[in-house]
Amino acid sequence: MARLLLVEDEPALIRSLTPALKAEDWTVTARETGGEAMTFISQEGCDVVLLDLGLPDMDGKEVIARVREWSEVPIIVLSARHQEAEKIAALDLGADDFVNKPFAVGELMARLRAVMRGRERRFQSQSRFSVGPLAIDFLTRIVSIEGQEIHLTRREYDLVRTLARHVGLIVTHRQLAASVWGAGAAVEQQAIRVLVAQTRQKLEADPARPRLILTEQGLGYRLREPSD
Amino acid sequence: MVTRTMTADSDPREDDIPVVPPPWTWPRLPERVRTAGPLVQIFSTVALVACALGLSAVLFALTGTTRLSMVFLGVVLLGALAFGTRAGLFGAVLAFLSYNFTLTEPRFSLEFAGTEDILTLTIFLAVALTTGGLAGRVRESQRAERERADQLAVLLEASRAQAATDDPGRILADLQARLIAVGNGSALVPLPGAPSSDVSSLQEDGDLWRAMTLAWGDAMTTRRQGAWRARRVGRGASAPIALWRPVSEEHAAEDRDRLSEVLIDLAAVSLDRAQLGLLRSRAEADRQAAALRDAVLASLSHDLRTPLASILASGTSLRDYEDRFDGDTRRGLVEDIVGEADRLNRYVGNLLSLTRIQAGALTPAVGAVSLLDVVDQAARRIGRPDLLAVTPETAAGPCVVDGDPLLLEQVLFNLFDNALTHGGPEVAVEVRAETRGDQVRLTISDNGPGVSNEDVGRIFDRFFQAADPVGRRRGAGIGLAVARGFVEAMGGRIAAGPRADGRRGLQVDLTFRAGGAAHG
Repeated sequence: MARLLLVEDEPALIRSLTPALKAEDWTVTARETGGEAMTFISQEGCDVVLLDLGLPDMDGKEVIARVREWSEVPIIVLSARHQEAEKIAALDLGADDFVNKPFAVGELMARLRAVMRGRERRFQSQSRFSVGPLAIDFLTRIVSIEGQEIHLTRREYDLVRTLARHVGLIVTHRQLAASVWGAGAAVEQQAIRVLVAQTRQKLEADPARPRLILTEQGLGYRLREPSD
Repeated sequence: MVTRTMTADSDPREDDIPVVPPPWTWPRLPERVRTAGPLVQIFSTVALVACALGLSAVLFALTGTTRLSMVFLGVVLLGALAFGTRAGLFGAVLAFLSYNFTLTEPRFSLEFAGTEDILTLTIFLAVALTTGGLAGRVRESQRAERERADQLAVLLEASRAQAATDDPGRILADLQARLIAVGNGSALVPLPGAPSSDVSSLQEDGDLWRAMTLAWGDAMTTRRQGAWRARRVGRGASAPIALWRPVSEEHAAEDRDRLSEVLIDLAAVSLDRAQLGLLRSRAEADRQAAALRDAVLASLSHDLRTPLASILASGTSLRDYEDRFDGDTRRGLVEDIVGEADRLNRYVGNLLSLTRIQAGALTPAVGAVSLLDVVDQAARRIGRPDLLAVTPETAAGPCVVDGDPLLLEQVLFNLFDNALTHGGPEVAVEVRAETRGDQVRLTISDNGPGVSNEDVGRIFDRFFQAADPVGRRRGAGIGLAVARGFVEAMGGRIAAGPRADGRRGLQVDLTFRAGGAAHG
């Protein structure tokens, strides 16, 4: 059974989430403060963390930053804060995904599955990737849609590769800029938008209604999972 | 003198240009005679010398002596002290002639009898002239001193008066009053229709005259008596004014002109200060509004979404996993939904109450209410009657107050809720009622963490949340604001502070007017 740490200071939400998580075979541990959560992660360890950003003792973002110093445990942020800046900061600090309160448990379970799959993928060294009609051979750098080889520029390929590595998860503008243009490059969001639009022209059946590369408004992009 | 009234709509830019409150007084010509005019001086000096003549005639008749030059010197001194140097010199010559004419041999002629007389008279003239001149100068420097002291006093008074207000209109009104009081006929009027940047273009006398004539029409018939000058008071958007300066020969007018200028500069500084103060208070208001907006958003975001998150999570869990949950789990989830929905309902209810309080739409149905009944109701509604030790001290009579039972119950509910929220499940709440004269005081004390001294004044503010010892965010900062709004709407008072008995915790005092039975 996979172990899940729920860091949340609202007892009612802990009570509401625990039964469904248990039904999905998670062992649930709840902690109310960031300090307790970090102690638990360092001493007991867990497979995934559900983290509320508004914690009584510290900002949830600080928990992400400190945990990321030593651990790659997947972190999904739960927050009632709807400010874009908060989400971007949390993702850039190393959170894997984001669920806005209030949410349906189904949405949370889908995010958990995506995070766990991404984790598995990172530990396997598969050279081939496919989702829906899209297939990528990382060895030969060949991208195809329904078996048809598509010619992508180098940047377009880097964009698709980055999204594929985090399939189902959100990739922020900054993360995309770093992996496509190189770390430290000053890239306008407009440039990323143009690149995404070009790539969609080549990959999407209807570029105006993308089914593969989804926009997360103000945050970044997400490669859609077949199960979503 | 002509009086004109300027109505507010005659100035289309009333908002940005402070207007001297009408009606203003038409410039007065120099009306205060500070020094006697030349004719008065001549007559007075002649009269003084005549007095000396009369006195010496009497003395001569009584004693037969003609050595009365001191009498004449005395009046020369008096005249000089009273009217200054010119009067002193004039008096000296006049006294010399009168003395020579009446008291020296041959009498009643200006001729001299001998060298001794010539010497005496020459010395008399020299002494009289010197004395008159010196005394006059003393008199003049005295007057100058007094004038300078007066001017200083005027400036001091103006600076004091203008420092006391931040209202540009009042500063200009004060300036106008003072300019008139200075007395050289300067008057201040708002220059109609001219933005302050155009003042320099109005420096040409003709242009300004035309502008003033256009504005004031037939009142402009006194051109021969003086001249208008356009001036700007202060920088920026402050008022352009016109100053009236009468044609005057007087030396002192120059001094008063300078004083007027200093007064205008002083007013300019005051206007600038007022404007800065206005900007600062606007910035402060903006900052407070922004802080309140942030608090409202944070509160809405957190306090509406937190119960909703639990409701939605429980509801979707039941929908998606119902068959995999046992009965206890299902019941637990349903109870969470009910509990959180209730919490949400209370929050929304308080939010609506707050809106009604702010909009002034609250109309309490005030009548005689038994406080203890309401305390009981609220305690039962919060579901923890066991925590409330009600110790009524009602020896002085039944605790009946003027109030609205529903609002009062909500006030008590919110106070209990606040105590339970911050004090934790172990908190004990104590309610005490006391009748004092025509007032009933209800004291609600808890043994929770209490409130720090700096926060105690703000706990009834909207969206205020006291820093929790563990930094935990509890409550929405609405319940106590609603409590205060309700209490005040019912004509009561609410105050919070540390417990009167010195123990840890918060004490809230509600004071109401005794109602019903207490009135008889």
